[in-house]
Amino acid sequence: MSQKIVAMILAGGKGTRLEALTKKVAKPAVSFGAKYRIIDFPLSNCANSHINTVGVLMQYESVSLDEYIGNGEKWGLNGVRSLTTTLAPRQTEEGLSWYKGTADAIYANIDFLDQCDPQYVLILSGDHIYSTSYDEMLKKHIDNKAECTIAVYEVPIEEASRFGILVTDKKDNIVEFQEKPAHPTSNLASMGIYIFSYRTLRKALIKDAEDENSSHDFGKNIIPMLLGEGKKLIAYRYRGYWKDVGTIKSLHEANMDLIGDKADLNFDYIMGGYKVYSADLWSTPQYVGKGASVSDSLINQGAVILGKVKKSVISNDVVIEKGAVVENSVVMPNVRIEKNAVVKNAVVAPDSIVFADSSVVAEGDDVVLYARKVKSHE
Amino acid sequence: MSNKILGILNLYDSPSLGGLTKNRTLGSTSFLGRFALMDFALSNFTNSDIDEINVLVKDNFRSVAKHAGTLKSWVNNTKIGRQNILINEKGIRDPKYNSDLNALRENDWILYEVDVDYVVIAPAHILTSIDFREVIDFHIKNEADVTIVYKHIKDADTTFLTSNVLTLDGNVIVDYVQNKGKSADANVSLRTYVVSKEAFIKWLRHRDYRDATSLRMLLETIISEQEEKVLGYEYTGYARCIDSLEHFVEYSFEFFDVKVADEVFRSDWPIYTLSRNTPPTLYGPKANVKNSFIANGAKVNGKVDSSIISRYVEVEEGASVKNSVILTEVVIKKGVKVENAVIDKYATIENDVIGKEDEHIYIPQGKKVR
Repeated sequence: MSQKIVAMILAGGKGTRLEALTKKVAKPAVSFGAKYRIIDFPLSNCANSHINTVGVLMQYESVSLDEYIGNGEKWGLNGVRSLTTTLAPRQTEEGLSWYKGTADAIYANIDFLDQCDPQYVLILSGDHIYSTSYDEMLKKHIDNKAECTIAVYEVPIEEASRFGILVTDKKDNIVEFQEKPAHPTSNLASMGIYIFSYRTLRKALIKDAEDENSSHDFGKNIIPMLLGEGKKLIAYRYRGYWKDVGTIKSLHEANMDLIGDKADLNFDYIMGGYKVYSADLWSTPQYVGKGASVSDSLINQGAVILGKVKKSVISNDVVIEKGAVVENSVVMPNVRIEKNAVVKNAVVAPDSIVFADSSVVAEGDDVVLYARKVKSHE
Repeated sequence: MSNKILGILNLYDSPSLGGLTKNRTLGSTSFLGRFALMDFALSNFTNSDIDEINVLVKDNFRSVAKHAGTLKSWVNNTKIGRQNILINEKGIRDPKYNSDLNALRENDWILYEVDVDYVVIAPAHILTSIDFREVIDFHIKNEADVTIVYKHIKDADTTFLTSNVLTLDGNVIVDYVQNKGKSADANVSLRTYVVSKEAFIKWLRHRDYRDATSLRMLLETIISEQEEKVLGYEYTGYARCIDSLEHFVEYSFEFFDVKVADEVFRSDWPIYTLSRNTPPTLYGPKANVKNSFIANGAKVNGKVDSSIISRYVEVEEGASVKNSVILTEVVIKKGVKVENAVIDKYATIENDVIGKEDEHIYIPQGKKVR
């Protein structure tokens, strides 16, 4: 079965900096925006780009993520010409080995790609929040007869040293790759989104796998290798909302981007033009109670609000009891905030209880993570 | 071996809700901003492990197809069981004969397809959470031909006026007549029936029954002539009969009471519906919402009190909505006041719409109120 383009989504990371949120779930499965999980975004983007073959590479806590991805039905990726599959490390004749890096994860599944026989391979990260179609990027790749096209995001030059930076000529040809440079000469940050011509990618992956000194990473190894070989690599400038949520603070911030003054700017970007698909949870309708007050917030169905909610993102099946106050916070699914509790500048992990009269508060610009799971099997 | 149950949602059995049901069936009418009324009966089938799910459609087929599709939202296993939308093509050509019983006769091919043991027939306008497994157990244990599910109510003088009142001798129904509202205390039919295979085949094919045109008439005849063993099964859970626009509004608002909501929305009895992939509700800085159901996709920046706001409704700044039901994609413009109203889909409200508390004003689909 020959496919024009196959998407491979890297979703194996633990996301250590998300602390308790990723204690039992992989980072791509972390809840976002009251209704979604982070990986809904790249998967919906694939669907909206009419890409119907998607491989999801997973490693850390793969069972729950695997269950969530299923056959891709949640994103409509289960049609007659679709194939969605999860790709976890496996035992082979050579033995059992974990994915040693982003490039190694794809290399380990070369047989899957060979079987799909694509012309192009789209490499995506499972933990970015942005809503787009990859059509334009693919068109640029094809029009320019590039071997590899890298999506780049313009960042303030003073922040450029935190990123992998691409230096380009006037025609967007990439001339140099700088990994977290002390003195960056460009402000084009790599988004970790690549379109490769499959034959080029295949050769590069095999060569990289043979190199014992390689860390088998796309940014650190594959891109510099191709540049060294004089291959045509081009940059695709992405303009629009895009966020890599690595920390509790940035996860909180990305949620806050959906409401308040920023809602006009971002909400439609993220949830408007291209639909974001997700699981349907058969939740009951959202109820806002008699003594409740809600403003400047994003709230999902299944939530019951009896207290006060301001500038917050409230997920499905959350109950906020009478007298409770939630402000500037992200409340993940199935949380109960009991009577008169105060939650401010916080991220509340799924299935937690905030006890009556208690407070979960961070001061100033700080954000506190609260995780207290209700244990049902003890 | 478990029994093969054929579930039939009977949309013939639908009172009018005025303008709301002009271009759609009662079953496809929006409820609580999240559901269609048919979701309740269909979910009862699903939750009762019924795999063969059928919808008997009288008219406005488009509205049923749009919501129910191939009925895949209500199946447990996508390979087991068959789901059918049953239409009466003869009836469409000649509406005089377009009754539920004739529609079933037209669709008797279903008996060749499914080797059915029992048939369960339920309407969309009576909301319940009946576990049909219990009714079928009762039906089998008592060797009934037909079991009619009823509820004992104390306000039969004002509700269930489209249903029949039944008189029992033990389990046996000895009298079955239209509820004329004479007595508040009554056993009312939930128009939900379990029928054994033999009886069902007889209804559809036996010449003795040829004169009966509707299920209701047939049941009245059978009971008065005592030809078959017709028993009553008492159901004691939540049941409401949506038979008018006012009842539609009243029973919607009733869900603001947590006791009612908890009785219907049970974790062991989900109400399945069509997934629409709508983003969560966005509340603006000027939002002021009380005692209301707000659906996903809505944007609220005005005042909402004791109302139901459906998908993609916009309540702009300074607008206020009170005691109203607002259907999908309605826009309530800045500063406009809406009170005691039912506003149908796609309407734009640029001027005040004020109804009476006991007589809600209805604004038709797509209407621009200037």
